[in-house]
Amino acid sequence: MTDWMMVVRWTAVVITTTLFQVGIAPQFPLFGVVADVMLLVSIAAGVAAGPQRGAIIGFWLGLFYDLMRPGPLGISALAYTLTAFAVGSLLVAVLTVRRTLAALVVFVASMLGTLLFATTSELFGQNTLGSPRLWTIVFVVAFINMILSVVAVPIGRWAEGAGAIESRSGVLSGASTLGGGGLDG
Amino acid sequence: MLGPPNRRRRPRFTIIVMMLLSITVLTLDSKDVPILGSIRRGVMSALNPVGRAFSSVTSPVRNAWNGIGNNDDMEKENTRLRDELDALKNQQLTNTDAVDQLARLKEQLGVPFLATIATEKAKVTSGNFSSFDDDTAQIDKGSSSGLEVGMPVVTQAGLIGSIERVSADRSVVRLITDPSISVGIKLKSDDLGVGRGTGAGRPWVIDRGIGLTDPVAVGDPVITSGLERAKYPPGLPVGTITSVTRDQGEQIQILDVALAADLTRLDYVQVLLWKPPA
Repeated sequence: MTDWMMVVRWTAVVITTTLFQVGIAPQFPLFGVVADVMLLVSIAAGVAAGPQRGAIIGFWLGLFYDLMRPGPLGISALAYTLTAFAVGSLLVAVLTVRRTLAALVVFVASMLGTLLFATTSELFGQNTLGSPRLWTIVFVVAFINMILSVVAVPIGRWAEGAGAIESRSGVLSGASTLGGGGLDG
Repeated sequence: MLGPPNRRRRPRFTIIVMMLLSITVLTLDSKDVPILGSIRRGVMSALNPVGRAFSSVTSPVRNAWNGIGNNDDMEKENTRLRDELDALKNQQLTNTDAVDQLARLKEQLGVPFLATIATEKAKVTSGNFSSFDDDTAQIDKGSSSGLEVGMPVVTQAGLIGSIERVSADRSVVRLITDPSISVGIKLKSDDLGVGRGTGAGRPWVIDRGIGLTDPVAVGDPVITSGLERAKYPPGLPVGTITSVTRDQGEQIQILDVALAADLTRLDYVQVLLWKPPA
């Protein structure tokens, strides 16, 4: 049965993230690199909600991002979907995601997600892998996202609500075996 | 212990559906399906005031962040000085040869001087929403100001690109540094060639059309050729030649060009209300 409150919360998170990406992130570039909070929240969704919901949230965030930026529509959607799914799948068997682990996961996943976006963009005729700033972008995005994960992962957990643990343990025998406080943000 | 098989399959089913959706969107976009273009224009129009509002609200903090200081006068002074510098660069190019070439082009091709082309001044907005968009810029004018896809965009120094996407009051400019953009050019010797970008921060090169015997020298100006079906009108300054490499295998000369316009510091641009011939 659909938890409509959860849908409302995730919708609010997606809209707020989009506004943040449009309004705030471009104003404060670090070394000329704009923070990719859309990717960050996609990863946070994977951490907090597991592979299935993470993939869905990643898809919508990526699609909204694609609508805002030049270039082919659907590339971010594909890259963020796969990144969120991979993160969710990786953590599905982990009972407790502590802050340090979450930050590390966000750092690595941000690097891989950015590279995946760059690779997919290149395949669709964009000049991304050849950009002289590629590695600067990859590392700075990963660094900013790692810092912001302190906020983003708890937001993902809030949006997921009581279902957070159940979602993550979807492939395990049951949520009850995990106990409370599984996402020790 | 694993759960029921259907629960195990669900994430896999979801990811397959999501991937297929993404690929479908990509395919439809590549086919220029009108509805997607309309949605994009709508999103651009809706987000434009959001970006402006945040830009305005965060302006003092942003200035401090950027290390420029929160002094508006200094910012205006910087803008004025950059405009002057661009104008001087343009004048230098013009003095060298461009005026003669433009006059001759008018006689030969019957095309108008740039001065006769109507322009629309636009401000480059605060920045792109992502970091991989170095080869694009967003401006604060759109179809409500008469802008259309394909119109050339210049600064006082020279050509910078053309309009790629337009909404009511915002447009995306594809810069000539993008490797996918080719520009028909003309040299001082009247030789014609084709130049292209190799990405932001990398040399702009002319790698087609200039034979080994064509007279070329470092410092020569490069302007748009404006030949039939060209995407740009003739006589727009592009830059100056900075190096010449002779390719014996291809029997051509490859020219590196320093662009006349400083694409890393765009503030105000002019959109030429000129459309390539159909």
